[in-house]
Amino acid sequence: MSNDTVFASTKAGELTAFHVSDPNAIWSSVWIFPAGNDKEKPKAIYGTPVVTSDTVYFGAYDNKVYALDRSNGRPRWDAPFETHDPIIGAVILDPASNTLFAASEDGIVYGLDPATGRLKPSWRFDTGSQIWASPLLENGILYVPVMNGKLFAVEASTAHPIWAEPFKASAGLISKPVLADGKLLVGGIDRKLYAINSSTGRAAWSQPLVADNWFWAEPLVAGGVVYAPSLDDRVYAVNLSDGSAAWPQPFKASDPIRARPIIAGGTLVVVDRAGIVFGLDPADGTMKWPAPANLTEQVFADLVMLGERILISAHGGALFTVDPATGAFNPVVTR
Amino acid sequence: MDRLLRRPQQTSGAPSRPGSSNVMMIVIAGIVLAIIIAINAGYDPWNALFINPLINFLILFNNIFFHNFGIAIILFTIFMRMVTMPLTIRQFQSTRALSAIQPRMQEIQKKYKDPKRRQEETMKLYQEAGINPLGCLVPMVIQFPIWIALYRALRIMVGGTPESLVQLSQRLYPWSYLRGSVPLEQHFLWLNLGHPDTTFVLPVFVGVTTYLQQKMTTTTPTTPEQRQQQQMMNWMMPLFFVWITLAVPSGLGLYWFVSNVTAVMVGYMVMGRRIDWRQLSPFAVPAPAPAARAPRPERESQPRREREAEIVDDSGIESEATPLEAERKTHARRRRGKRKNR
Repeated sequence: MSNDTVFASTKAGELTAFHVSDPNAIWSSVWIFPAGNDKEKPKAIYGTPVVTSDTVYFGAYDNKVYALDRSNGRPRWDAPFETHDPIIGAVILDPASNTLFAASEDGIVYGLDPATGRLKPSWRFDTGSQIWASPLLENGILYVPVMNGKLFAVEASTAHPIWAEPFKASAGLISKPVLADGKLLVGGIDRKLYAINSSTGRAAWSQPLVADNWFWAEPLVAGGVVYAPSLDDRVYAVNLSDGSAAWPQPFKASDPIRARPIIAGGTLVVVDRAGIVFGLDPADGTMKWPAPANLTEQVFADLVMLGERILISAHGGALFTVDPATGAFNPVVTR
Repeated sequence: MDRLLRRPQQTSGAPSRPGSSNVMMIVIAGIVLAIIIAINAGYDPWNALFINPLINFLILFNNIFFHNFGIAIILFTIFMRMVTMPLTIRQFQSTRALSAIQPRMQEIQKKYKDPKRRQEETMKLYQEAGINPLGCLVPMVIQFPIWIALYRALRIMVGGTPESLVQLSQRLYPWSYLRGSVPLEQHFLWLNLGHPDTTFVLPVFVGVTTYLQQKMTTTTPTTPEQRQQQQMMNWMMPLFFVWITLAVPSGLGLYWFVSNVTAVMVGYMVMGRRIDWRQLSPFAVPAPAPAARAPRPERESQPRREREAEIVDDSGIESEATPLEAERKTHARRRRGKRKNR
């Protein structure tokens, strides 16, 4: 989402730019990539695109990184940058070092020239394992969680590791990390949510938060509380300081939760895979809405704000807006 | 294994003995009971009883065998083939038994024009030879759910997309030894097990082995129409599998390839020297109809097992004697008969 334009990626491998003057009115598509006469589709686009004043960057499941002209959706590079394996996470643009980072399932983080899409001479960081999560860029440092359980902290300008040793979890790290109050929060397929000291790379809590299934969704931190959805259908709330429980009990949804939640108008909004949307009280995890909203579409994508409403992109490509105060929702009509 | 291979032919494809019927009934009752329990417990029985155990078992194989999912798929496929070996052997034995009575089948086809009478005579022949006409099909039907479950399990495991990984997370048993090893390493030889093989190597392997396996399990057609249909199927099925392999994750293609190779090897063990490898070639000239070479009156006096041993068919399953030797024997008998008449 950027100004009055929404860029929505669908599993079918298309990226569409919608002009949105009123979220409740009909959305008109400005362009679709690839254009109708292009046979090759990028298979699927899982990562959130990066939008600048003139370019839209994204990585796709066809192993490639694309740069499109924001105004008309035409490719800006001579050819997309190609890695060896699919790109599942989002690409990251670092204006300070003028580098576009793409982390591929081939285990390598590539530093590209955003203007040409070519690999920067010294920027190639091999993690030694698959990368499924989106890396995090904060204060010139790139944090990269990988599937062998390691979390790397790499200087964005030089690709040199910051910590003496990478942090090591007992199994793959799969969620995008969040940095809050000097602590990195990252979830893994060992069913644990870790808090890591961002300057040392060591565990910040005495014990990680343990669930019954993977922590895949990016956690949300607000008011000193970490809201962490899990694939065990629950949302956990713990204090950022020490990892102690912030709610009497975790909130139980109806299906695994992959999408990052959002706080809007004092309501914690969570959507599960089955497309059921819950509006919770962030203080105790109780339902605020009279009933959850049932979109009847699978949802994996993170929630984003669109004005005062929440925009949800469903797996099949449908879009919905939800009122965070009541849970009323509308399917977006596009043309 | 040896005991199974040496089992008298009469039992192959024959109706089950009372003992094995009881065992079969107990197994079926057990499966039905497990399905009822799973439904009552709120589980989807297909997933709870078949797919999820298979997924966890495959991951266990992966962890045991060097965390190499390609090797795990190969060994698991061989393991499953071993488990279902008695069924596969029965299938080959039934095929062989059906092939053995084809000359007499042809005679019935020629002799009786009335369909009802023809059917009666055919059933009588089956009964006489101790053959269950569904003997070839039953083992396949029993193995089919296993194959479908494996197919679905592999699709989930090597899907390689976030959606399939979320699905996988819901199916793993709460054992860190299993959970810690996903996502599985998808590279094996030149393949990415989660993606179709676009080099055409694996699809061609799958097509060739499907063809071989099919040729080994088809019986001799009794009419030209049947022969034409069978020839078409012999080509259509392998081509269909080539096409499917080009579209599905290559982990599945690997499974089909290994499964076919194992079946061909089992077929070799069952058929032994009876396989005429030249007849398996798609360019082979079909062997002449057995009835044309072996005159019925002379054979009537021979014991049935001997008669069956002389039969050659174009499915590649051959008698102890080669076609040339059979011809020589027939000529020799005719010559002897002529000398006696003089």
